[in-house]
Amino acid sequence: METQREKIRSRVSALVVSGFPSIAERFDPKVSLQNLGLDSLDLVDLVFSIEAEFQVKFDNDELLQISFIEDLVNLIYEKSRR
Amino acid sequence: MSRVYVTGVGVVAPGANSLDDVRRLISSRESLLQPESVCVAGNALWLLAGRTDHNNATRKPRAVTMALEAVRRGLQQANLDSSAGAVYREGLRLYVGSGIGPLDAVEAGYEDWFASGKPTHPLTVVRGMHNGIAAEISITNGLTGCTRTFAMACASSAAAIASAVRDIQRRDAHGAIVCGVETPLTPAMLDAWIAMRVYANPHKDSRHSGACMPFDLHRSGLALSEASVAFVLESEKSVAARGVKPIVEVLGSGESSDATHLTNPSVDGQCVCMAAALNDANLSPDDIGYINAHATGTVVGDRVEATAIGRIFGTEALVSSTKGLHGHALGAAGALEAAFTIAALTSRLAPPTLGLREVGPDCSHIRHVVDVAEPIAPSKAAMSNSFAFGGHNVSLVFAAT
Repeated sequence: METQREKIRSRVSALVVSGFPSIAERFDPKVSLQNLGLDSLDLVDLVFSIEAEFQVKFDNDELLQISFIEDLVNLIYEKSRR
Repeated sequence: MSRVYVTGVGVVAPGANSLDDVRRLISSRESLLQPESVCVAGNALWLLAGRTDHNNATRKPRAVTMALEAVRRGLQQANLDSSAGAVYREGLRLYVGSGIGPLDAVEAGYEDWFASGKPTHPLTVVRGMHNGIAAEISITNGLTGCTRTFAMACASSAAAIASAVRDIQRRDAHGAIVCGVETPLTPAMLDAWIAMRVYANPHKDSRHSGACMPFDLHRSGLALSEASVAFVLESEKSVAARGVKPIVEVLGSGESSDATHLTNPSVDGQCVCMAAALNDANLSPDDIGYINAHATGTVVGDRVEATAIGRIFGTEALVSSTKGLHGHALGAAGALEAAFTIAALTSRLAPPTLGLREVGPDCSHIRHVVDVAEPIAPSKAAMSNSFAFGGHNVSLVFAAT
């Protein structure tokens, strides 16, 4: 059965692929967002759509902690448990 | 003073994706303006507008991707798109004219905020900033030199051309990329123009009503269009060094400010501008065979410009406004109409004013090109006028090589 984290991971991955079609072909959740080709502007763009999708809010400090998809998954998971 | 030549023209405009397309349009007798529906205060309204076939599949603003494509095409024609051209490109100055900038990004960025108080998209600032167009052109093409942006309403891109021409004339630059772009066909912007009561017959509900009719007795206003046109300008030394064939020479430019009113143009201000352009080009009025007028189809604007042209040129020069064909591209109009002027010169044909059926008596004292294109006398030069809201005036003079 799909865990809560797995559900979040697949939704975040879908947001990345739909938001940045140019990286869809090489998308790999284990590769850092930077190495996928997303820059700092792309990250705030992605976080904007994640905030809308999951009804959560990220602090500026939290943005600095995000390097991998998994970092986003963990942050969303913790916020949704509160 | 160096001579200045146009060596590349990139076009993204209604009905035209190259200078050759523009040449074909010179003889066109059918307007490119199409009826389309906009929603104003909850009511559907038909109006005419000129759209390009540009397909923006990216998340960048439409003005940015249109400008990038126009510059790419211009560099290609100037033979500067190869890796051999990359070294040369680095030294080119960049001049970008746009009246409003990346409007679609601004409207989209704030749409949710205004409508429902939802958060503003975090990239609204960088997507909507006026200089973003120039920045994207610089980044894409590795232009590391001086950049200038011009926001002077409908004279924006003509002012950009004039400034580049002066810098090359004075040998401050050996070459320049000049790009004009405007994408005003967004719901709120169209509504704003309709509200100003200058849109061609905006309140008729038939989809076939409404026409842009510059200089006509029954003219009722302008029709907006989107466009981006880019030029590669080079000094005579640069042209010789690269061994490229110039398309036309830019003989000079003139600029003036009415300093009278935000929207009511001044005959005197426009006369000063055209006279300054003639002086810069070292020509007399008799040397001009064709004038591409700014004339947008508004009652007052066309009358003032016809009066000013008549005062300087009498009935000698052929005069037409191509806005009945492609509409008013606002900040891109100067660049788009410079391309039409260049196409007219190189094909020796003056395009007609489409939509003009019966010349208004207040516009009758100049020599109109009506219905069909007319030959431009050999050895004559051509002028393109851009007379903007705010009273900013720019005239450019081109000659065949």
